[in-house]
Amino acid sequence: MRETFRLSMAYLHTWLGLMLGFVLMAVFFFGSLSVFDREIDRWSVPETRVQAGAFPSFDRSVKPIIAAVKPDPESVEHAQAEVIGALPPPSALKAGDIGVYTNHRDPVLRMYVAFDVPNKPRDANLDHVHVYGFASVDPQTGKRLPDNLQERLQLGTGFFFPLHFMLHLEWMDLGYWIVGLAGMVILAALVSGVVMHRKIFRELFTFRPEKARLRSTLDLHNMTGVLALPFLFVITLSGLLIFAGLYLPSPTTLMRPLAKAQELVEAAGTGLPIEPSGRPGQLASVDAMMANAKARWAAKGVPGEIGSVSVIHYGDADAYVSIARDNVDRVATSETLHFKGTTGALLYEDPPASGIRATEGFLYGLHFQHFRHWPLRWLLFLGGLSGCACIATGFLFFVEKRKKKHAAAGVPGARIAEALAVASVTGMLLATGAMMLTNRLLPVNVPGHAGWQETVFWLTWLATLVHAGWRSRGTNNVGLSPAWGEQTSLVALLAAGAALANWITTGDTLLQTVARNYWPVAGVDAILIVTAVAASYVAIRLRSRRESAAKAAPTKMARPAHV
Amino acid sequence: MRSEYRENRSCMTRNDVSHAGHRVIIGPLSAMNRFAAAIIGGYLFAYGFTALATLAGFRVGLPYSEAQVLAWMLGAFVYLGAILWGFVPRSTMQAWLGLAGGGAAMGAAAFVLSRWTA
Repeated sequence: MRETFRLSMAYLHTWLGLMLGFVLMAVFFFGSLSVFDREIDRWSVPETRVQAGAFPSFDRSVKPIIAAVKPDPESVEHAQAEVIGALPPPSALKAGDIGVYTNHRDPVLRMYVAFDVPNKPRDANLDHVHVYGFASVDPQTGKRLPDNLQERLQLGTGFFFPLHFMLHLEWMDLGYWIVGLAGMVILAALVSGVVMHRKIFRELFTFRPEKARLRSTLDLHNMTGVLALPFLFVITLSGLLIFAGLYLPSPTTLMRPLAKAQELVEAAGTGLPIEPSGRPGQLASVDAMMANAKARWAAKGVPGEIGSVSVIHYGDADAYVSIARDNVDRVATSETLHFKGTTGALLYEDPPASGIRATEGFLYGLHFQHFRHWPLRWLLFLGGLSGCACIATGFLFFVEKRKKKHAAAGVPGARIAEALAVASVTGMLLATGAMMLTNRLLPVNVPGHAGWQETVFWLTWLATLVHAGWRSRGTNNVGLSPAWGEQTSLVALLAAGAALANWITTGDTLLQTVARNYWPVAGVDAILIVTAVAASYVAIRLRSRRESAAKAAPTKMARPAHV
Repeated sequence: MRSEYRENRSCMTRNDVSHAGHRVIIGPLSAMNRFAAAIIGGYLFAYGFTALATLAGFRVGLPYSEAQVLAWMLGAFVYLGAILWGFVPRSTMQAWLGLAGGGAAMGAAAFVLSRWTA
C-alpha cells in the first residue's frame, strides 16, 4: 500500500506538473516581477520618475477631482453584462464610494470612484454592481495627472501584476480559475514531490552539476523545490486565500440567509452603516480626520503616514471615512480607523486582530508586500524565481527522460513538450523583453500606445512557440532543441536593448541613477543588464556544448543508472 | 499512456516497481477521468467542506466572517488532501463517489443545518 501510494503520487506529480506547469511558470515569473511593480511602473512611465511624496490634502487636492472622474468605458461594459436592463447613461451615475491610496514606493496617488448602479444584478448572490472610474494624482503638486499620462500603460501594476493572477483572461473569470487551479496543483506537486522521494533530506544538500545532465537537472529540480518549499507553499496558499471568496463562495451561496443575517449583526457591532440613508449630507474636513488618525498612531508609537482613505456612501448623511496607515513597519495589514463623514468624529476603530484575523492579515500582507524592508523584498523576488527554476527543471527532466524512447518509438510527445517548455521559459522572457523595448521605443503619441505594447507581448510569445515548435520538428537527436540556445541569445539582446533604449530615450543610465540614489530605475536597469550577461553566458555554453556534441557524435549519452 | 506510466515508474527505485504489479490508470480516457475525479470531485468536496466548517465555527461561537476565513484556510488544505487522495483508490469510481459524494453530503448538511435553527 505504501509503495502504491508513492507511485500514485509520482504519477500525479508528473502529469499535473506538466499540464499546469506552463501556467505556473508565468504566475511565478510575473508574480516575482510584481514584487517590484511600482519600480517597473517608474521605468515604463519616465514622467513619473520622481521620489514618492506624502499623501496630499484631501480637501484641497482630492475632493475637487472626484466630480471630474468619469466612469471608465470598459467598466461600464462589464457592469452592463452583470445587470438586468440597460444602465443609465454614464453621466447620470452617482458616485457611491471613493478610494484614494498610495504607499512609500509610489510617487503617484491612485484614486477610484465607484458609481452606484440602480439596476438589479443578474446573479442574486451579488449585492451590488458598481461602475468604476479612475484618476491619478501627483502628490507633489496635488494636481490630477494629465489624461495622456494616465492612459499610459504602467507595465508593473497595469500589466505584469494582473497577468500573474488572472492571465488577462477576463471571460467568465477564466484566468482567475486557471491560476487558482494551478495554485492547487503546485501545492499538490510539493506534497507529492516530497512523498516521491525517500531521502528528501539528503537531496536538500545534493547538487551534482558535473554529473550527467539528466542527474544534475533532477538535482536542481529537487534542490529548488525543497529549499524554497516553505516559501512556495506559503506564497501559494496566501494567493489562493486572497481570492477565496471567488473560488469557494459556499459559505454565502449555500447558507445565504444565515450569512446575510450575520453580516447585519457584525455591521451593527461596528456601527458602520452598510447602506446609505438616502438623505444628502455634507462631508466634513477629511484633512482633519487624517490629522486625527495620525495623532492616534503617533500616540501608539507606530509610523504614521497615510496609506489609504476611503469615503463610503459619498454625499450621503450616513457617509463614513475609513483611514488606514501605510504599514511600512510590518508584514501584516494594519487596523483601520473609521470616522463619521458629516462630523469627523471617530465612529469605530478596528479592534486588535483575533488569531484568525491576524493570520489572515499576515498572509495577505506577505502577498501584497507593502512593508518597507528591502532585503525581505529581494528574498521574496528570489523565492519566486527559484519557483520558476523548479518548474523549468521539471520540464527539462520530463523531456530529457523521454526523448530517447520517443525518438526510438517515433512519437512526438517529448518534442512537443520541449517546444512548450521553450516557449514558457525563454519565450516568456522574450515577450517581456520585447514589451519593455516597445515601451521605450514606441513614441507616446502613437494612438493605442498601451494596446500596442500588449499586442507586441502576446505576438512575441506566440512567435517563440512557433519558433520552438519549428526548430524541434523532426529533430530525432538526443540533445536539447536548438531553440533553447537561439532564444537565449535573443533574450540577451532584448534585455541589453531595453536598458540601452531606456538610456537613449530618457538619458538615465545605471551610473546616473545609482549616483542619484534613484533605485527604482537603477534596479530595473541592473536586472536587465544581469539578465543580458547571464543569458549571453548560457547561450555561449549551449553553443559550445552543441558543437562538441556534434564533433563527438555518435557517442552515447551518459544515463544515470537508477533514473 | 501505459508506456508513459512505465517510464514514470522507472523514476522509482527497483524496489518500488516490484510492489506495483497492478495499476489502474491505463489509457488516456481513464487517465482524464481520474484527473477529473481528483480536481472536480476534490473541488466539490472542498466546496461542501468550506460551508460546513463555516457553520461549525459559527456554532461554536466565532463571528460568522471569522469562521468563514478559517474555513477558507482549512478548505485549501482539504482540497489539497482531496486531490492527492483522488489518485489513491483502486477504482476511479470510488474516487468520484468519495469526493463528489462527500462534498454533496457536507454541502447539503450545511444548507439544511444553517436554516434549521435560524
